[in-house]
Amino acid sequence: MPHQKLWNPYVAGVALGLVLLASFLVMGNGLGASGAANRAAIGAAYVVAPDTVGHDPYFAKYVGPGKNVLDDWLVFEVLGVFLGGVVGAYSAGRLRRGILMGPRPMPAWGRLGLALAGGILMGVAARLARGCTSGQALTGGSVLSLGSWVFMMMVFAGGYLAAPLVRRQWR
Amino acid sequence: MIFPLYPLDAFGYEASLVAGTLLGFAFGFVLERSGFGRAPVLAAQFYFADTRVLKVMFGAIVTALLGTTILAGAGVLDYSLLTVPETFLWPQLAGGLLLGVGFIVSGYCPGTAVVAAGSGNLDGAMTVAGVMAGSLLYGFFHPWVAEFEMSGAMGVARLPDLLGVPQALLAAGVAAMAVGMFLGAEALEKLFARRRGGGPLLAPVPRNWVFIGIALASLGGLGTLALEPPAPAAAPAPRVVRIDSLTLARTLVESPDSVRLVDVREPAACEAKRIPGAMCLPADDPGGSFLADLPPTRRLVLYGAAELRALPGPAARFGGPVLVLAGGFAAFETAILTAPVAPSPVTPEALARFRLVSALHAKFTGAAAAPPPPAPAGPARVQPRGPKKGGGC
Amino acid sequence: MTGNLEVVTTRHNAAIDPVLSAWGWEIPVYLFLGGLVAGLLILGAGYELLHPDRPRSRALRAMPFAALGLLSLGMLALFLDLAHKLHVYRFYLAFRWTSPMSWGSWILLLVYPVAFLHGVGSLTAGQRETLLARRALAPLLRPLLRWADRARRAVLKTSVVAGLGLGLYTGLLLGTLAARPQWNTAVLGPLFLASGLSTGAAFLLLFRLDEREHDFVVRWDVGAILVELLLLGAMLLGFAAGDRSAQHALYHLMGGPWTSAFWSLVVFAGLLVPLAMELIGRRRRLPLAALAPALILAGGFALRWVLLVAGQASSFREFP
Repeated sequence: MPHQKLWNPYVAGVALGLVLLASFLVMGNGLGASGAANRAAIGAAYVVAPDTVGHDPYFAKYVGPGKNVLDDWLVFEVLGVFLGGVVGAYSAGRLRRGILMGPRPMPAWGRLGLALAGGILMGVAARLARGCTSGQALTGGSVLSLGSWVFMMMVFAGGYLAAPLVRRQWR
Repeated sequence: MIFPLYPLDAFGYEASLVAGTLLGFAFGFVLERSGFGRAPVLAAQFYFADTRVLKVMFGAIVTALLGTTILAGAGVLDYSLLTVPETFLWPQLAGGLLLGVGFIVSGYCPGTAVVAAGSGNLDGAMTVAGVMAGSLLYGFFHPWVAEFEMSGAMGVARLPDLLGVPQALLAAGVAAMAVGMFLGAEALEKLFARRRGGGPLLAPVPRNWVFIGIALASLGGLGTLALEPPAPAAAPAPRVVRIDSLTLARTLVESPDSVRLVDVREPAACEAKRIPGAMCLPADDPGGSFLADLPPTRRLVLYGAAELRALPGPAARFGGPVLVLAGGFAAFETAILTAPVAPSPVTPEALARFRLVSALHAKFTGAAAAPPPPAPAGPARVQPRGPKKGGGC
Repeated sequence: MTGNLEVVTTRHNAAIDPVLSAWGWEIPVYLFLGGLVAGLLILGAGYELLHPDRPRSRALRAMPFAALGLLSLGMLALFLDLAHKLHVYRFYLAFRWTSPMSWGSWILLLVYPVAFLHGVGSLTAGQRETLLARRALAPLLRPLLRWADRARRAVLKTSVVAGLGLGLYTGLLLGTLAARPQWNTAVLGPLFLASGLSTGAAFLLLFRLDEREHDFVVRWDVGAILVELLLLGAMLLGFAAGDRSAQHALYHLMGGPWTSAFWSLVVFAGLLVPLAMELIGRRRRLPLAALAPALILAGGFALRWVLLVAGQASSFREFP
């Protein structure tokens, strides 16, 4: 069962909280994730279509002459998150290429398609809400921001509302 | 107040990126060990099979909240320097709902998808790709949502301020609520597990210790309310050292490469007349923001029309020593750029000083050095030359 | 004053060339591939010299040919960078023993035949039969094989020496440009050699080796990374103890514009993380995931890229 070699959730919660606390103490801000994905996407788009992206007023904040879209704290932080995931999984003996799915067998493309679709929804949502579960819920929640608590409650609400629709994927 | 380190200038921007990598590494490692790199574990939250997501997330929030509250109450952390996300009520409400849907469809949230990709799960990598595509899509269709995006703007809105409750009290309340939620979640887990015919899920030992810790930390946070409220920290005075005109002139002649002389007056005034060797503020950067990024291997000397009372912001962030010309350009003009008058009671010291100043005057104006027995003439022609070497460029 | 004169005549004046970006992507690629090939030659030949009686996997046998291909790719990058492409032959009209560039061009000329002989001698009996069956090849190949077999140990030893020379030279090449404080350190040669050894090992680990080879390569990789970390520390200490131009070079990597790239990409992601993975994997007997070698390769390239770009931005003019 997946519980093997996973930390006790309460211990893990405290550990995660200490990392977050360290981030506040060292940097004065919390952790994040979606901002880096946004920057990476804009950077990639700028390489492919510099004119379209460069002249878009929304993207002009990020790219343009003399600006490096990847020169950002979040980008380096998420690089660290990736490496932390690698080392965490490897040292627990579960670094393995594969596709994770629920107990019901389903075609790989179906699972990957759902992952992509969910990702797209979250990408839009994270831009709209100015952060994701890391940047808004976790970080903003810890400094008691009203909007972050609203966001967090709505994430759980959205998850529980949509869960029956995709039940076949997970149960 | 020693925390937060970065906003208090303990290290620079580039070092902050390295700190970000290390913090991110710890974040990713803990997320992975919590099981958050695996979609079935995360999705189980929404079918009450394993409420690990709730436990880890609220455990983390309570820990960080109590930690910052206690440290701020003890006067170690300047809470006002922490970045608090601004509240935009409606987009955050809608975004949260949408993100929740995306969460259960993909099985990840953006951060955990990165961890999943790192642990080799292709579905995680696919989710990351989706998040990237989604943010790009949002950017392209931004004009349609621009208005909604700004709706319900409340600026920085923190619950303690809105409710008028001291932070420590609210933190204790959140902790109590979290513990209640944990117990409720466990009861639900048991209920659903019995329905499915499973056994008990978790050993109670670490849980109880964590609960005791949360209770003690909450009490600690409340205890800080009894302490004196920390005095508002005075802004750290920048290390302004004054340098007089004569010393500056000598330095410019003797070791022009040891200083970087910047004229912070209006660019036009500077272009017209400045201390030879000084650089003007570029027309496209009148605030001088480049000053902060200069390598701190030369001393930075600034001068204005008169003496600078405060350093310009970017200069305060300069990594090395900053000096300010005493009396500003006016003083230098009087002391060096004007021909010196011969001392009337000719003492050896006065004469030596006169010789030095004449030599400097000659050097800076291009005039021939005045001979020691002077003619009481008017000021020699003052002709600032463009710098030949040192400073500038 | 003489300093200024030198600075003007060699155009190392910040006002003339604020950033000397004469070198683009080609040189880091060349230095990276050169180091990698050096590592491959040393490890491949070293394994056979130390354990002549052990059977060797297909991947290890094919390694010299891969080295030849990679080196040719690197040479292509170098050639693209040359301004006067037709003048390449001039490198080989003279030998100047004081010039690392001259050494380098001759070492490169030595590497090709040695790696080729190394590879030919590694062919299995079956492969030899197939090749000898071709009538056109046989008269050429038969004496070559006989000679490569007879002189096998000499070939292997030359292979190690050529690899050491190549690896050292990729670093010393930069060291010759003493006008760039970032490169004005004797550590670069051994540093690039150690990095080449670890990238070569990482490249081998991407392929299927047998268990003993795998152990050997991982052990050498761990050693090379540790030495590389020590040398990086020595480099920084050397800068810290140096004059103001060296301080400037130190500043580039400690607070200056390349700090994040150097510490996050090179040291952390490229050295410490894969080192941790290799150590964990050895202790727990886990199969090594391809990610660790990939990180080492990326880190090795980043090291050369950072030092090259930072070096081109460092000058004496700024800090006499």
